[in-house]
Amino acid sequence: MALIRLSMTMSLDGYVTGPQDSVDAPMGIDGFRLFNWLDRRNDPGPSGQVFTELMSTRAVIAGRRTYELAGRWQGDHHDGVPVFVLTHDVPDDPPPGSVRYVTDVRECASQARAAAGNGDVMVHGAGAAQALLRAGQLDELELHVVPVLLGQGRRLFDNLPAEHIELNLVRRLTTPEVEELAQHVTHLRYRVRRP
Amino acid sequence: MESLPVEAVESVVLDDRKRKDEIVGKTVMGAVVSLDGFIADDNDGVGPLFDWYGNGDVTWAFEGADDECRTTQASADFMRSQYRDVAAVVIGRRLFDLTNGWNGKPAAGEHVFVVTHQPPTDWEHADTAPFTFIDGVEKAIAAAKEFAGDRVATGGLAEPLRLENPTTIVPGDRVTHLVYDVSR
Repeated sequence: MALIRLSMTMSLDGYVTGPQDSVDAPMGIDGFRLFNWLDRRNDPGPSGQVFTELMSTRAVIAGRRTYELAGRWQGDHHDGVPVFVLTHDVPDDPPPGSVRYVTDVRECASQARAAAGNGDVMVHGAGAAQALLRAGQLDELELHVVPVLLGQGRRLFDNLPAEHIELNLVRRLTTPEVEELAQHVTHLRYRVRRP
Repeated sequence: MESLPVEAVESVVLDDRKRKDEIVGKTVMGAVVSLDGFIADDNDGVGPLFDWYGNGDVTWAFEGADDECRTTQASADFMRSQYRDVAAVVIGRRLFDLTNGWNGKPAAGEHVFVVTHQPPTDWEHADTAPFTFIDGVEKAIAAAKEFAGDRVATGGLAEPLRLENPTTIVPGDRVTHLVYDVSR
């Protein structure tokens, strides 16, 4: 069965944007610092490998906020794979391209798994990640941990209950020392332990 | 569901001399932290965060401490090398109160500097313990560094931090030890 895997870039102190993120500044103040590693996405090496894997997923789940801030990806995230947007409030206009709107998180997860077939499902956005974690529907977390302390911003692991979610580290990739400092990142892949 | 076997995760431990050069006279912040950034629950309990201190078959202890740790070989080697040169420790008043100042025995190092505006007046170990109470974090770090000389002070000043790749990554059981250098 297709795995549902979160892919998020996070500062070492747990933020996915800088402070005061908004429609005009989707990454908040200086938050684009987090994405420097993507400059290496088409190069050989860990960051290139990870990016290629992301682009090989066969379905996408995104939160509404991420979806809107990304300009709805003009209806195509990559290769025309189905994009399931989790939202409380379905827009009136029909979804563009391969996008579908889903209001129930479990329904969203099962539709995405079915759509991905033998591939995997990529999850985008802190809100979607939290909803899937709360529903017990997230299988893996691929965190691109950037060695910077942003100090403030939007927290990835917010709005979660006090119950522990145990994780197993299944892979760790670190950029080589020679690469430019700003592009340093550690890609950590954790599997969610099921009771 | 399996974790990655330990040998499959490359372990980058700097050799002793290089490490020594890099840490002499430095201030190091250390913490056991969950992936989502917590160091304790709402009741100050550490819960599974400290499981790795007791889930292995290698027994060791911090210098001068009463309690023994039982960790994997990798965690034991890492912790011993990481704390071997620690001379002084800087803590806040909260940790001091939670642990009753580790009953007067530094959990690591030889001397503890406690940042507080109001030193305790009724601590039973006040006369004998190698603890100093200091009003202000900058002063405490300075005092710890002076005490440590060319050794290591652990604690930390909250400055805007830019880090580099982890210089050390050690896989343990239910823990990954990461050491980051702060670039200035």
